[in-house]
Amino acid sequence: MLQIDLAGIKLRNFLILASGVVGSDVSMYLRAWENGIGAIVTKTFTIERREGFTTPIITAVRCGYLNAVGLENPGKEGMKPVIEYLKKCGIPTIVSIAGRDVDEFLQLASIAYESNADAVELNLSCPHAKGLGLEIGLDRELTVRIIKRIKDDFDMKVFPKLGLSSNVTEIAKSAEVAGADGVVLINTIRGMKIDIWLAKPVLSNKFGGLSGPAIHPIAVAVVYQAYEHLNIPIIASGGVWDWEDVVEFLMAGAKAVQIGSVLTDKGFEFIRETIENIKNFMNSRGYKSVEELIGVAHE
Amino acid sequence: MSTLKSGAHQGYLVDRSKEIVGAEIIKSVRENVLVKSIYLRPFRPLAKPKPGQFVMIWVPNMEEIPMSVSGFYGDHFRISVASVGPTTRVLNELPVGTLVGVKGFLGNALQLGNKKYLLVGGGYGVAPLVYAMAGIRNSHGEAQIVIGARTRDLLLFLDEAKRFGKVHISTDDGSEGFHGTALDLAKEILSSESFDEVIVCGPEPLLIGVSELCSEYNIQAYVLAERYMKCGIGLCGSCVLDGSGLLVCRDGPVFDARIYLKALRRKISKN
Ligand SMILES: Cc1cc2nc3c(=O)[nH]c(=O)nc-3n(C[C@H](O)[C@H](O)[C@H](O)COP(=O)(O)OP(=O)(O)OC[C@H]3O[C@@H](n4cnc5c(N)ncnc54)[C@H](O)[C@@H]3O)c2cc1C
Ligand SMILES: Cc1cc2nc3c(=O)[nH]c(=O)nc-3n(C[C@H](O)[C@H](O)[C@H](O)COP(=O)(O)O)c2cc1C
Ligand code: FES
Repeated sequence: MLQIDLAGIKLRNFLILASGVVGSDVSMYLRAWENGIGAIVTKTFTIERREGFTTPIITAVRCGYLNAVGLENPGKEGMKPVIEYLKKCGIPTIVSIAGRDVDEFLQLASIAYESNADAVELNLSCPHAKGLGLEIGLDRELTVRIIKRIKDDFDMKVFPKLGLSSNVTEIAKSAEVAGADGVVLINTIRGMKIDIWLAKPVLSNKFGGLSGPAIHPIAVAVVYQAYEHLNIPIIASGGVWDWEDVVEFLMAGAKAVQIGSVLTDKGFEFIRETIENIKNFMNSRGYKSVEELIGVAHE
Repeated sequence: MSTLKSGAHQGYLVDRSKEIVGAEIIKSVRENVLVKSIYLRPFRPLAKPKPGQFVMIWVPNMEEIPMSVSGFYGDHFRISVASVGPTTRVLNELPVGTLVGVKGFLGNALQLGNKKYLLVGGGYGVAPLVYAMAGIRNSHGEAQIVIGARTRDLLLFLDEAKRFGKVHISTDDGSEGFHGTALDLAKEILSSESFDEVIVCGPEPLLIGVSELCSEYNIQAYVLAERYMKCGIGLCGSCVLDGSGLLVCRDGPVFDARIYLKALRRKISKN
């Protein structure tokens, strides 16, 4: 009932762990899997090891979370052991990578490929890392070149993760034409929190990425619009805070849905409960498979 | 038709205790050469902390670091800070009136009841335990505490602890009370008197020692664990308890001693 075929990758359900929300320790990925997640996206890997920004790196705001972790990760040397471990446990593994140029993306994709990852997610959307993420993803031509070169060199699924922009649908369409097997929409949105007593931004990086309930309606709109123009599957990300938000994404046209910062408030149990609640919803409304839900809001 | 629970009934918006908010240092008291107690009044009132919980303290231009709550007084609370590195050294020098950022209160908590407790505190580990003693009294339980330090001038909260229950003192150099470690003293006490539960906080060897001791004596024990923390709210993964899939900031800092020992042994067998 809940299984999906995501661009040829078989998943037991459509819930995917979003990149970076539990750090990069495999034991955390394993815990998400034990709680029922359908697939894991790893924390984003870069070529060099990154310490991340100094603290404070995360704060709640009224309607979500603001983070500037700074893409902390062990670098390319850390990829192989993580991917191989997850694959050994039978976990569908999507490896998030972020390069500064085509060559860096190719190097990272090559390690993912050799380690038998199911797919790479291209982080073209992190809003707060200099020279990485969104700074690359807003350049449509560069995005296209990165996807093309990875698809040319490796027989591996490629999911670009795109951030909010005025032409996100066009970039997604170009990604499809370039050979992307699916697109992930969206990442956090640049934001800031100033504490009025201290009279300064609270994150050390000043700017952060906004996640959580605040961005959910924005993400739904992006997914809905992209669905009208794309033939490849859409993986939704942004502000899932209860099971209804997941159903909303599916109805907007997503084939799979990532969950992220909700885990801090509701814990890993959220995964199991969401699956249970969606099953009940489908039974009570007469939906026999996920496929019947995908994009129904367009009919 | 099965009943559909709307997620909207609970947790519709985010948990605001995880927001950084300004707070003023309203008092600071030197406890010993290493430790100062700092009283903070946040500009937005925070929910009452449960014993065992901690707070992230951001010293502007320095780091945001975790600190146990050692007291709560309605509109303000207390932390007790040992100067060990750059941020704690600066924090302990800040004059009254300075503003810092606070995020809290965070983490799980001790489940206290009408029971007989032995608390074991080493070094600044006594800080959360004096707050727990107040909680135990409110739950009509009985508390005794072992307060251990290297020397007598490093002993913490002796007078305050005496108000809540019997105090046992140990010093490594024998300058006051029992001559030996807090672990040695806890062993003596546990072999002659029975307790329902043991709670331990302090340096890791003490946590391990007391956990092993209690497993030997078959007494329920809890540890207050510490790991390096960058966010304090379960989103960065820096405080994983040694590859166990448990986050000290969110699943802890209070852990059942058996779970804690299992996590640490897994690390040892991996190396
Ligand atoms: C849940 C929790 C509660 C704590 N409660 C208290 C308390 O009540 N009083 C108190 O004085 N300290 C407490 N600590 C420890 C305190 O957070 C660290 O001493 C502090 O972060 C050190 O910062 P620094 O910049 O001064 O020193 P750093 O240069 O960062 O570190 C100095 C030394 O402390 C160690 N250290 C650094 N950060 C941590 C950390 N987060 N946890 C454990 N060790 C660390 C380092 O390995 C190093 O040996 C607590 C830690 C945790 C996780
Ligand atoms: C603490 C934190 C770290 C994140 N790290 C990454 C990352 O490394 N790479 C990435 O592509 N997205 C990262 N994200 C974005 C999430 O994967 C997700 O797209 C975003 O948080 C929106 O979803 P949510 O509202 O469900 O959290 C991070 C988000 C948070 C909160
Ligand atoms: S400190 Fe960030 S997950 Fe615990």
